[in-house]
Amino acid sequence: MLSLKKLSTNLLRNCGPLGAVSTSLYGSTSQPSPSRPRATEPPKRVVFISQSTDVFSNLAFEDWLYKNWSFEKRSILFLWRNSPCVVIGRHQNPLVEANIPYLESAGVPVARRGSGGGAVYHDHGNLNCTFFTARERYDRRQNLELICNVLNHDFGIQARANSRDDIVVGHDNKVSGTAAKLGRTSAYHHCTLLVRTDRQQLRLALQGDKTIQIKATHSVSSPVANLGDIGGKDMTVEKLLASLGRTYLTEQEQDPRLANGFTLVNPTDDWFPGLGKIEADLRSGEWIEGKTPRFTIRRSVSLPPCLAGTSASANITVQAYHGVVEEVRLEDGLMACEELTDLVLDISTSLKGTPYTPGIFCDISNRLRVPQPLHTQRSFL
Amino acid sequence: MARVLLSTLATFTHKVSPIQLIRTSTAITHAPRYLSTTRGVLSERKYTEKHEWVAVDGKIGTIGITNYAQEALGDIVYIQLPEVGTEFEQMEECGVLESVKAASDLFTPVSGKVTEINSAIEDRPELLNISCYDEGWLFKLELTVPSELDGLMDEAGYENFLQENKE
Repeated sequence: MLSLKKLSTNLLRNCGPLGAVSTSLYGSTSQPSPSRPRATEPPKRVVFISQSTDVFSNLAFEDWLYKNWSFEKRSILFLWRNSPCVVIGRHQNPLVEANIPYLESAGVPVARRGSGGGAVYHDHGNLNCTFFTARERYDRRQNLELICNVLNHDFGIQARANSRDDIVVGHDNKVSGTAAKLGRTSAYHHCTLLVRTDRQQLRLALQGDKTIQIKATHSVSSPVANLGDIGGKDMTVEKLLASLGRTYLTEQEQDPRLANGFTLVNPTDDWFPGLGKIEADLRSGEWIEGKTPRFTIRRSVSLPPCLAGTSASANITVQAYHGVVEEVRLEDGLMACEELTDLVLDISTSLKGTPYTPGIFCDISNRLRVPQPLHTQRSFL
Repeated sequence: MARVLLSTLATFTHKVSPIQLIRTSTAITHAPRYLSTTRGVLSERKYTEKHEWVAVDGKIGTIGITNYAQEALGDIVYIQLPEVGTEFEQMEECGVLESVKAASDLFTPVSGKVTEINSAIEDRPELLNISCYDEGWLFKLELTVPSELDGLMDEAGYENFLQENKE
């Protein structure tokens, strides 16, 4: 396997000079020449390749570019990959989308991205592409076409974008999922490309708790395929990365010698001041759990004999918003005895405003066994 | 007679909601519904170049996105609104609209403190597609800098802006 560094050296020979980071990053070379009117000048294209495989660093770099750069005069293709992780959409619920107990035991992180869409699994066999443009130039069909052209021409794989903007091969087997983020002046479209992803891990990692009721964005589960299984041994992440980068640059600039080279970036605060803060926010509970839309979860809780009426258990529903408990309520309350109804009301009052954890039903079950003084007093009255 | 009627209808529609003329076929059918949105309590809507609108009643401004914006976004699946009590400056990011895999940042066209959010659209985001000027309003805020309204476009100005940008 080629290392990224070696790869970029190889590409230099083919694609021209690698812009020194200091100049190419701050765009002194991408100013349009004053003699030509700006409107006719297409934005210069630049390819960035991440040297990190940490999902939080790479997502932070995306967000950093989105917030700090102008894409009026340049468009960027950012190519990156991550160590195993699950990435959920901006308005998704980690408990529903990811197999949290399994991932925790395996030390695999779950990250929330800023863009819309559904949950995906990443590993070293998956390549991510982010297309940054000015908002008015945002065109994800065009980006997907570029990828399909590369797959067709360079690897002989017949791929197409379907109506959901997923790239599929054969009998609608998904090899790429898409999502986007649109702002006032800038936009990005990013997508995954499964080359040699561990499909068994992918399936396991995305087995979330589907009994949770959500009003959030749903993931649409699709059969997936690896491009590596279709394209043979020539189809590797490194070769795909090189082909995509080259095509992106030369599509616009016919003479490859005039195209900018690839720029290796190190997504750290040293290179990009302010990135560290974004990364810390992405890792925080306020972002990962705290941005979870409202959900309800219902479980059957066994009752102690003193509370059990006609049934030895009760259905309890917990409602949470932004990761915080809003309400605990008893279902089929009419069937329950008064003590139980009152006790659940007390429990709801004391748990309201606390962070939601899957252990909450254990907590509720325990509290049902210890009648509170307040409750005892009330039953006397 | 018919000619008179037609011309009356044209002026009527134009007065009510020139924006709707973009979709000429639906503008006439929907005219009565849009009439109800300008029922006297709210001032005329003001627009930004980024397709937000604000209608003011006293110190309270109601914020939404325009028909052009909702058509461009497509089916809205989730709306993250600001929290009541939060203060925002003009053009500050204050929420997110998610449509077919794209999360679009929402910006406030005027400065103010959020007084109310439209909880109906939290549960039914599609209302934004169905009725962006009426049931699909997003949030209300108490204006802190009312003079900002002078910098926004009126309906005719916004319609011209859309036409110019089409070409």
